[in-house]
Order: sequence, then structure tokens, then C-alpha cells
Amino acid sequence: MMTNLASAISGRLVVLTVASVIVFALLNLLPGDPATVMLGLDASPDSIAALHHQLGLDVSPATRYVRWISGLLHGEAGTSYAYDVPVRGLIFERFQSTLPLILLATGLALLIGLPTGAIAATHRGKGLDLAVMATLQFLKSIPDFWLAMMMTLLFSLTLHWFPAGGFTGWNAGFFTGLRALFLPTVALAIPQAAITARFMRSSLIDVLNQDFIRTARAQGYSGKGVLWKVAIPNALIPVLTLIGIQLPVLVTGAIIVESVFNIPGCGKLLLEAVNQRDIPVVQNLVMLIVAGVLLLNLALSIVVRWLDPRLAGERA
Amino acid sequence: MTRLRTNRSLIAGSALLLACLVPATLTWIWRSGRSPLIDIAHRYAPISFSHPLGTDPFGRDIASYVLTGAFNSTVIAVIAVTLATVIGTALGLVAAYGGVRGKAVMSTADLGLAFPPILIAAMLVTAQGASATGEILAIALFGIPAQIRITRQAAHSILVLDYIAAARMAGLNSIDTILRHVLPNIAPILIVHASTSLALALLSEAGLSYLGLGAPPPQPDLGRTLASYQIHIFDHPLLVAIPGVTVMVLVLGFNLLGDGLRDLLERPFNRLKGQPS
Amino acid sequence: MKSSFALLTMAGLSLGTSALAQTRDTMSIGVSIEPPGLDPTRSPSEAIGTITYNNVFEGLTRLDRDGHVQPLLARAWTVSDEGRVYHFTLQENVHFHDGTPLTCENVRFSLLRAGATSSTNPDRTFFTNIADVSCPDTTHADITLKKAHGSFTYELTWNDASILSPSSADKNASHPIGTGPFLFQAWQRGDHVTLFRNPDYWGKAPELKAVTFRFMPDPLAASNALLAGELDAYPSFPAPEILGRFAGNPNLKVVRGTFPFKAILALNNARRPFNDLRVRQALAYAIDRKALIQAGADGDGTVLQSHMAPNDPDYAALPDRYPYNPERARELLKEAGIKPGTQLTLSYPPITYARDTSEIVAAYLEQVGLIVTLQPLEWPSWLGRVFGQGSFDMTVIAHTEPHDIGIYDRDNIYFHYKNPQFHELFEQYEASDNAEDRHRLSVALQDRLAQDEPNVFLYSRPRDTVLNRRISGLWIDQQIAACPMADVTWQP
Repeated sequence: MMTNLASAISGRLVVLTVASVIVFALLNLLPGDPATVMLGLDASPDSIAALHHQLGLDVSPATRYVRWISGLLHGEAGTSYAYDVPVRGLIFERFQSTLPLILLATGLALLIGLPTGAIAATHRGKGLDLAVMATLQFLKSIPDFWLAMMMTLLFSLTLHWFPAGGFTGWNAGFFTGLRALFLPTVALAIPQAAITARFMRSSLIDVLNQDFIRTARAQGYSGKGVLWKVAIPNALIPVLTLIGIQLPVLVTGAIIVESVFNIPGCGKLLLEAVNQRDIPVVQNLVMLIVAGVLLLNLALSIVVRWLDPRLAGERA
Repeated sequence: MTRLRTNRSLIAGSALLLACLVPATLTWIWRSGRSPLIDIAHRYAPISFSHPLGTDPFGRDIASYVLTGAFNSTVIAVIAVTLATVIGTALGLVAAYGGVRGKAVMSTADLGLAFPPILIAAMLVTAQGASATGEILAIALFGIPAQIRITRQAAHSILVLDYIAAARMAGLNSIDTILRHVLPNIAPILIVHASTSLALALLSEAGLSYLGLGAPPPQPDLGRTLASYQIHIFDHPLLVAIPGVTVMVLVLGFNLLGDGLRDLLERPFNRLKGQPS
Repeated sequence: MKSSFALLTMAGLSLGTSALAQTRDTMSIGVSIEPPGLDPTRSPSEAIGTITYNNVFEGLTRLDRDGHVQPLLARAWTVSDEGRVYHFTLQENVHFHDGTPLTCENVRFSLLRAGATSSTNPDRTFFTNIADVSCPDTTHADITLKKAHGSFTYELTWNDASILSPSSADKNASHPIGTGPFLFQAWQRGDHVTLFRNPDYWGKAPELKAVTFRFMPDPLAASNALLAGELDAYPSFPAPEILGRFAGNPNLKVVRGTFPFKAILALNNARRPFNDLRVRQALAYAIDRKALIQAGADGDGTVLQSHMAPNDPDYAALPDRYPYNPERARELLKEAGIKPGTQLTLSYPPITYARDTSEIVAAYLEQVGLIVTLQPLEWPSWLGRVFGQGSFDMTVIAHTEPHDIGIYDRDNIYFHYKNPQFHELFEQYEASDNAEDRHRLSVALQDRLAQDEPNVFLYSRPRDTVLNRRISGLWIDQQIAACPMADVTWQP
């Protein structure tokens, strides 16, 4: 178990290192000079050279890469080209809306998806199951940004139940903040809930078909007891793995939803930085997201292994 | 044959796709790939015989504009999925044989898990500006890891079959094994996966181009069309509804087609796997 | 479920009304572009002016809401030596926001810094005309020019001529310090800048305690925020096509004003085929500019004949030299030896009007046989490649600086226009300080450009401000990129 854990961690570290090289190479080894962009047209060669030095662009790419990584390890992420302020502060500010959004949406997706999937599985082949499956197929096919637009149109602009966008932080009060995040959370959660439900359904059907459940039922244990005490907990384990696999999709969804609802989070920061060619922000934000996804993925796989002794012997 | 007739997913999926892609292709051929004419004098024209869905704020025919967009979006998705299928299948087969190479491939696949298309596209646009190539690359790269896993699993289940093992022992080399036995047998799995991947690729394409990370204008595509019509959500809600519904119809079509193909093709495959020796 | 929704909404509403019941002393203003920094001497971004002009920064003179030059940090001035020396008397008891007092040394520092060789000032060429600034005492400044310059006090109103303190000048990009009625409070990147009332202001104290400028580039999001009362005003609302949403709203009104908006199809005059007058004229004939106004300004606008907006006092309503005539365009192209199917590239920055106008222009040029490749650029690329290096074929852009016909005389201007007659006229114009002569010369300059058509002059449009009905004092016409808040108040 310990060696497996160690190899899982070291494997992820290798992946993370390779990812950092890819991110650095994609953003730094292509033509274009950020200094001329920052100083503008009439900048003298002297001031360009000075800025190169200030930005650390006057050394070889290899040195720059090493500086970047050692900076990251010390919690420093460089300076934004567009804003001329530390990237760390920019990203930290934005996390205050992105993190709650992702957590709330994941929670809501599980809250809707798991019971729906379980109900469909226990009614397998019946009308209810077919109806649920058809609905899920439909929901899975709606583009999330379009769903978000339609929800704004209905709930905030026609019914005026929720603000149409924007998020001014938690200082205005917890409920004001929550209300601003409600529609984005739902828009982000619905496709996730559909995927979770489909997966829960097939996972539970798999478990219900397994020999030990059949045996238990044959020995006269009540259907409900077996379902709640044995089948559902066993079916949940693969669902955890699925959440790990779905993380990148969730990140994509969050970026899109933030953009539609005009929420000043990490996703909007990323898109702004892309439009401004603010390389330090793009570089560090992408790296942070990749690291976060890999870390959560690792954490989930450890939890799954701990819960499911059958997997203990398998490779990471 | 009877199964084909009762396979409702397959029929519904194909119908949706045909209903959308046939007119889209015809429009594209008819206009030889150019977007419909701008005609400011006739902006916001109502629904009529010559403009079945009316005209947009530039006086373009909405129907042909959206259909051209649907064609372009689908082409990008198809190219990306083809790339992912070819590369992912090749790598998946390598992985199925195990060994150091196989392990290396699987680690690379782990890497892909952490990079959603939006991050790859964001980096490519920052470095090089928006382009169709970048968008295709971003979608394809994300599809490869899943393709590797699926191919590896399916190929592995064929390679362990007794008669394959016997053939290999008799001296059949790996290339011949793959071409004669593995690929023909796992083809159904690959086809089903390609269909559902197309649904996902179309959603990614629409999302990326909506955010301005996709192919640049003037060639219309569904995401950018939605983004540019978004401002008219109140005064001309149809402008926003039409491209959105088009994306949905295409995605639903590919999803249903995938479900239908699974019923049609994967059962024989599973029977093969469970074949008594 | 239903009742909990109702509760949530009620909670929101009651919060809203209780805030409204008090007298308001704060205001939130929507702006469409976030500035790259708040230092006007480092970037020409219009957004810097909107936030800081006469709010945070002040110059020797200022423009008032009607476009007239008024004294500001300079109380009065006299001119001597045939227009070459200006004697300014400074306001007393003026302090910068960090407490340092204003003296003539600040004037000397700011104006010489702006014209120095290492200066990044967007209007550096203007400041290089300053030979020296001398300080007879702390409250007097004598400025000597190299050449007499009739509009010197007008140009001193520009935001990049603001008077700064040497102790803070290099940090103004992220923490601007000036002498104005508002102090910089905070900048949440990507969202807003907040200014607080300056308690030690030397002039009349503003009524508003705090002003927030919120960055809302998406007109749809902006209109939602206005309707929801989250924004109090949006000067220069970017999307005329959705102004109808505000009609009938009891709290909001739309007021139409003017601004020096000049949308042009800029051509690279140094490159073939644009160095041929016939080609430039052909492009002008090929584009139906009235249709552009239909699509880009919802029908409200003026077709431009030259580089001057109708709100300029020197504007001349010249005859339409190039009415829409695709036949004539094709003939001119043929005369110039341009074959049908010639490829041209049209680059544009990421703003709605530029994108829409470019798409339409490309369609018109296609109708006279040219093949146009559209090239969308982000701001840094547009500023660097097009505006900076002048390396492009064609670009659509709106110049919004007031009275900027002089850019056609600059050596390093991005569209590479050079014309000895224009240069001569402009020299005369610059040297003259007689109002009548200046007007006559200005009209001649406009006419020269209209004949030469260095760029295709497209259209100007009105400026719409959406604002709460109870707001008074906001600038409706834009004389300069600015949104001065000192006189803005809430009416009961």
C-alpha cells in the first residue's frame, strides 16, 4: 500500500514537471517581445533593455524556466505584463469567487445526480428509467454557455429572481454573495449532474448484478436493506473516480460560466489575460489549474483505494 | 436487421444528424464555402420564402448563415476527432502490448487528463493568436488520452484470447496480429467511441469559439455566431435561439448515434470476448 | 421550495430599498475598457482619462464641458515674446494626495519629463517644443517655447500634461497621486477602480464621497447592471442597438451627446497599392458609408469627409466627394492596374464597432473584385504591429481624440501619410494665433485630406449616456476622454 502510494505520488510529480515544461515552452519560445508591447511605440532601446532586465527576459530560456519554477516553489508567480502588479495577488483575488462556485456546483451536481442515477438503476428498464435516461441525454447535449444565457433570460431578466450577473465579493454579505452565485452554480451543475446520474446508474446496475448481492437477496435479506447498506456504498466508489476524471470538464465549465455571468473569477482572469497577451498570468494560472486538477485527482484516487480494498494491489 | 429496425436511438440520432448536416452541406456547396452576403438595406427582414428564418443585423440570411456555421463547426470537430482516433488508437495499441513503451504511453495519457481543451487553446491563442489549427489541436489533444485508454482495454481483451495467443506463439508478428485480429475486432468499440467523441468535440468547439478561442472570422461557426448575436437576446430572441438549438441538435444526434451504435455493434464484441475456448 | 425563493427575493429587495432611502453620496459608473495602468504619461488609453482626468490629476489648464480652455492649477497667465513665452501664476495652497505641496518645481519637472528623450508620453512630440521652464518663485512658472504655438494652453489641458510630483510620478500606474478632488482608493483588477473624496482639496469640495468606475465591456451585462440598479450611469454606452431596453424605465434615461468619434478605414500609404491615389479613391467609392451607419450606429451618425468630427468648432461640412459608386470604383481600380482578385488584409482591434465595420467593409470591397482577409488582433498586437510599427494593409479604427488633424503631419504616424502641401498648411496653422485665420486654415487642412483621401473617412456617431434620472452634472458631450465627477450630484 505504501509503495503504491509513493509511486502514485512520484508519478504525478513527473507528470506535473512535464506539464510545466510544456506550459513554459508553449508560452515563451514563440516569437514576440512583451517589452515593446508594454512600453509602446516610441520606447528607446535603453528603456526596452531596462525592462527586459526588470522582467527577467535578458537571460536564456533555461534560466528563465528554473527561475520560474523556483519562484513558484517560494510562492512567487512573477509580475503581470498588463497590470504591472504581482500575479499572485491577482490570482488570489479571483479565487474567492471561483472556488465557491466550483465547490457549490460539485455539491449540487452530486445532490441531484446520485439519487437520480440510483432511482433510474432500481427501476431499470421501466418507464421511469427510460424517461430519466432520455432527459439526461438531452441535458448532456445542451451547450453550457447557451443554458446559462437562457437561464439569465428566464430567471433574472423576466422573473427577476436573481441578479443577471456580476459578483461583488462576500463583503456585501453572505446571502447576497450566494444569491449572485446561484444561477452560475446551477448552470455549471446541470451538465455535471447529468453525467453523474448516468454513471451512478450504470455503476449501481453493475453492483446489483454481482454475485454477492444476488446471494444476499437469495438468502432472504430485504431488497431495501441490501440496496442501502451494500449496493449503494459499493456503487459510489467508481463515482468518486469519475469525479476525478471529470475535473477538467468542470474547470472548462467554470471558465465559460464565469464569462457568461460576468463573474470576476479565475476563468475571466484567464480570458482577459489571453486577450492582453499577459503571458505571466496565463502561464501561472494554467499551471495552477493543472496542478490543482492533478492534486485533486491524486487525492481522490487515494480515497478510492482506501475505500476499495480490491484496488489496493493495482498499479497507480 | 430486426435489431436495426427497433434501435430507436440509432434512428433518432441519424435523423437529427441528417436533418441538420444535409442542408448544411448543400448550403456550403451552393455558396462554395463563403458566408452569406451582407445586405444592410435588408437587415432584420422577417421570415419569408427567400429568407426562411429572416435576416440578421447585417442583412445576412440567418438560415444559410447558421447552416454554414454548422458545417464549419462539424468539420472542425470531425478533423479533431479523426486526429485523436488515429493517434490515440496507435498509442493505445502500443500500450496494450505493455513493456516500457506501454508504460510510457500510459503516463503520457495521465498528462493529457490535466489539460482540458480550453487551457491548451488559451495558451495557443496567447502565443500565436486565434486559428482553426490551434482549435483543432486543442480538441484533439484532449481526446487522445481517452482514446488510448479505450483502445488499450479493448485490444488487451483480444490479445489475451487463446487463439490469438496461439497464433502469436506460432510466429505471427505484432503488426500482423494487430491488422488481422485486433483492429477488425475492436473496430466496433472505436466507432462507438468516435461518435460520442464527436458530440463532445462539437460542444468544445462551440464553447471555444464562443469565448473567442476558436477559429477566427469571417468563416462563421456556431459558437461565434451565438456570441455575436447574444446582444439581441431581447429584441430578437430567435437570433440566439437558432444557433443554440442547432448545436444541441448536432450534439444530441451524435450522442444518440453513439448509443445506437453501441447496441448494434458492441454486443457482438462482448460475445466474442466471452467466447468459450 | 417556492416560498424559499420568495424569501430570498424579499431579502434582496428589502436590502435594496433600505439603501435607497438614505441620501446617496456614492456613485458607480460603467466604463467599457479597463485601463492598462492609471498613468496618463505612459499610455494613450482613453480609459485612463475617463477615470483620472480632473478627478485624480490636474494640469495647468482644463477643458470645461463646452470644450473651452479654463484655468486650473494656473490661476492666470500672460504671453510675451511673440507667443514664445508663457508666464503662469499658480494656485496657492495646493497639495498632492501624499501631502507634498505644489510648487513651480512640479510644473518644471512634469513638463520637461514629458518631453525628455526617455519619455513614454503619448504626446511627447508636443512637449519637445518646450525649451525651458524657469521658476522665479514657488508660485510662478515661465515656460519658453522653441516655436510659437497658438494652441499651447489648449494642449496643456490634456491629461498627459498633468502636473505630477517627482516623489510619486513613477508609481502612478498602479497608485496615481495627483492634486485632484478625488483620491485613488483601490483597483480590483478586472472589476473596478474606486476613488474617495479628497478631504483636503484646494478647490470646491465634491459632494460625492466615493465614486466607483466598473469595467463592463459587454454591453449586455452593462445594460443588465443598469436595469438592476447596480450601475448608476454608463457614459458613452457602446451598443446603440439595445438602448431601447431603457425606454420606459422609471429610474433611467438616455441622453444623447456628441464626441469626437471618427471611424476610419486607415490605409498604409507607404505600401502598394495604397500609395496610388486612384486606389484610395476607389476604396472610398466602393463603400456605402450610409449603410455602415445603419449597421454600426443604428442609423444615427454622420458620414465623414475628412478627419474632423461634427462637434468640433472647426468642422467644415464638405461636399461628399466619394458617394457610393461601385462602378466608378471598378474603373479606378482598372486604371490603377489592380486586377480583380487582388488580395488585401484588413486588421482590426477587438471592439464591436471595429469588428462589425470590418466585416461590412470586406463585403463591399469584395463586390468590386478585391479579396479581403480579415485579421482580428488583440489590443497589444494592434498597438504594437499596426499603431506602433505601421506594418499593416488596412485597419478599421475610431480616433476619439479631439482636434487631432495634426497627426497627419507626424513623421511616425502609423498610416505613413506624407504630403508637402498639407505640411505647409499645418505649419501656418500652428504658428497662427488669430482665431479667424486658424479656422480658415483648419478648413483648408480638412479639404486637403478630403482630396487626398489618405484614409477612407467613414462616419461619426453621437454619444449616448445612460444614467439615473436623479443624477446631475455628468458630462454628456465628450470634449476630451474624461468623466469629471467633482460637480456630479444626486438630486433629491
